[in-house]
Amino acid sequence: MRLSSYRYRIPLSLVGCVLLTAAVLGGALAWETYRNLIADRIAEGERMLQSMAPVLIQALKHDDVWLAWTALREPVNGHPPPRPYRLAVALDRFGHVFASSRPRDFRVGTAAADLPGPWGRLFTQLREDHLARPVRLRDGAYLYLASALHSEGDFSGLLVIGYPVAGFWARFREILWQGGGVLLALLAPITLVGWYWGRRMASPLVHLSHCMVKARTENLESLHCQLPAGRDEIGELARRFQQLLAGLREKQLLEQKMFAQERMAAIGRLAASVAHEINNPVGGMLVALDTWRHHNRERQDPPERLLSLLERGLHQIADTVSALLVESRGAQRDLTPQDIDDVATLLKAQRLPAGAHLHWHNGLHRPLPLPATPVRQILLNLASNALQAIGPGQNVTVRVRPEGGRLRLQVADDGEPIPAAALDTLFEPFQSHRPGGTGLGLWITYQLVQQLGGQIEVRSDAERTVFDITLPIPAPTARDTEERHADTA
Amino acid sequence: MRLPTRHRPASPARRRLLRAGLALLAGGMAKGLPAAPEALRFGLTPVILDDQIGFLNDWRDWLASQLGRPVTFVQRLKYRDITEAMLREELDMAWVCGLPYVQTRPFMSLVAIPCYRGTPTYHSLIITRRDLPPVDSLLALRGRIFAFSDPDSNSGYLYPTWRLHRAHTTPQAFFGKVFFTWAHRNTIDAVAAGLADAGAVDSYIYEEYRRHHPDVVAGTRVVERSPAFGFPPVVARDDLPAEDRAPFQQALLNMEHTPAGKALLSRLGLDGFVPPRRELFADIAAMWTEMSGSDGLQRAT
Repeated sequence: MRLSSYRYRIPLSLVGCVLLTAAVLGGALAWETYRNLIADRIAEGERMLQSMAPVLIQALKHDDVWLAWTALREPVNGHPPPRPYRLAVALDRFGHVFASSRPRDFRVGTAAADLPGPWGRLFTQLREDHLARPVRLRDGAYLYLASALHSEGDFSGLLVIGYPVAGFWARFREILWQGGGVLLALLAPITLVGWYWGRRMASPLVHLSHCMVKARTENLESLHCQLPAGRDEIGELARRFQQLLAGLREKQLLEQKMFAQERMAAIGRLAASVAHEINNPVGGMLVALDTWRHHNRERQDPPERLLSLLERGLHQIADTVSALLVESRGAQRDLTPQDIDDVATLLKAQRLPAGAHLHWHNGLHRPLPLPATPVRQILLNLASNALQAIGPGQNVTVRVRPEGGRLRLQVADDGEPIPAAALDTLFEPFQSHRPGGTGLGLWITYQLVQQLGGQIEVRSDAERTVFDITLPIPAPTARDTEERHADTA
Repeated sequence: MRLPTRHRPASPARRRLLRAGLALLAGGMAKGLPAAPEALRFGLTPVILDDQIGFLNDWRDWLASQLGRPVTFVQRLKYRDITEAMLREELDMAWVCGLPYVQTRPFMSLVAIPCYRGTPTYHSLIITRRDLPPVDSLLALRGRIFAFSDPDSNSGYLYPTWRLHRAHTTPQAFFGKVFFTWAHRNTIDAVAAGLADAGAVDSYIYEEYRRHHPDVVAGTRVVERSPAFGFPPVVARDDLPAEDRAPFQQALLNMEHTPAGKALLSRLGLDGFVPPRRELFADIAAMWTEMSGSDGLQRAT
């Protein structure tokens, strides 16, 4: 799984967007909830102060601690209240604890100033200010709401309700957990949809990309791609790619046509030498026959020497013609050692400068699963080029041998070196370096090597020019093996 | 209308709701008054755990079936309210504390006295918070916050005040702070919660409360136990006709002899009722007489 692939990046991005949105929204909601929680508590506290006040005024008036406590105490019915619970304290007009929801912590009669917390401050402030609204105070672990109690206009005491801040947090966490659960339940299907949607969006792109990879490795003729068709950019890309593919196919066809033409042209070039090669033995044979007739009119049987000469001449003709026939047929079949020898046969027909030599080393002893025609053409092109590059007394050496899993072809000559400037453009089309050349020979050679997945290297210096080609030998498939067996049988 | 402490909820809304519900219930009782003029009106005070409405309804129905006439139960917050209702002839009978009986003896007659653990007597208990250092006497509680039940209660007020009087002091002078809770069970709650350091309660209520709420009572400790006093008696207006009084007395005395009556008694934690014995209240009367000459008794507002 490559994370860089759009197949994952688009769905992951969508899912990420969903999660980010949920997190931001959830955070904002949580913050708002927390604020509301506190606001609700304050409102509740203010209502509680209001509802407790009359009872407490009554209790303070009659010094009825019990009555005050019944108003302030925690609910005792049923389950105990969750800790920490709210705190409620009533102070009398002297600032002494009158009653509280926690009588052990706020003992009846204790002075407010002696209590831990803001009690003394609250008492002083509220006794002096005649505030209608309750005072709010955050101090330590509590949020305090305090209200002065007035009986017939006189200050009669103070009522304070304290909410533990930890209680807000506990409640807030509870809400967060519940909200988080709901959010997750909502997110799960949205995330799945996001993932699915993202995959759908990425799929045409992925498809196109696969198709492009296939176009590079597979034969264009047999390439079949179901390309995305849409009005969007990817659809446009697909259409352009289709056009590109069509262009490539056209180019490939053109190339094949050119290869064929060039092969035929090479055969044509060879034809003159071949004709000469045939003409020589034929002439020799005709002269020999004529001479024999002239001297031996009565004899019915030709002498052994004459027959042998005729036989050799005919064999030479047969070899030359059969090599040429194979060359022009171009059928798809495996490379055999004979193919390499055939090229040598064809080349030997060419006229060489005086004292020049073609050294041919065929190291191939068994057929290889390489297409014969392009290999022959590569060898023929390079060797004929080399032969044309040498002068009198110079040599062309051709070596063909399997090396590991590859077939290596080396064509070397000690003729005129290729100029350094020409080396760069050597394999480009229409870059002829000799008079009368089409400029296609080396380009076609290069294309053939590329098609076979091989490499071609050129080294040229004052001493020699070497074309070094390595072609990978494909592992023989079962079908190939069978065919070869059928052939040998 | 008095609210039973155990059911007093925290929220004003719930309290209002409960109050409305109880008002309906009380309304039902009150409606019986004019509709059936022959109904016997029976007043109850917190000398028993009077918040067991189910029990009270069952007892009322049982009494009505025994008497062959409707019985109305009337409950009030303070002892004095019941006593005064008796004096105004708004009630025919009442179950009161020994002290109100002694105070209004000229206008009341004893009907029956409950029998608790074999005797028609009970005690006043001085209790403290369990977390207070243990002491063995009321007199060791100087400066503490002390809870009385009702100023007309013998065990919850007269006895401890008399004890202090004998020690030449008054509750206001001796204790740091005193207050009334208006019921023995409230005193137990106040002491257990730490609102008061100590209090005086009826031994019968204390034990009954322990039976129903052992967790609350566990927060208290008994430090002093008074001599035996006459158990809070059932009394009648002295001008109540004998035909109203006698069947009621008979029904109470017979309670322990009928299965249904015995079951009700066991819910009350009592053995039964015995015929009147005025001498049981002599000690209360003596304390009252001794105290009424002094300023030691605080009058409830």
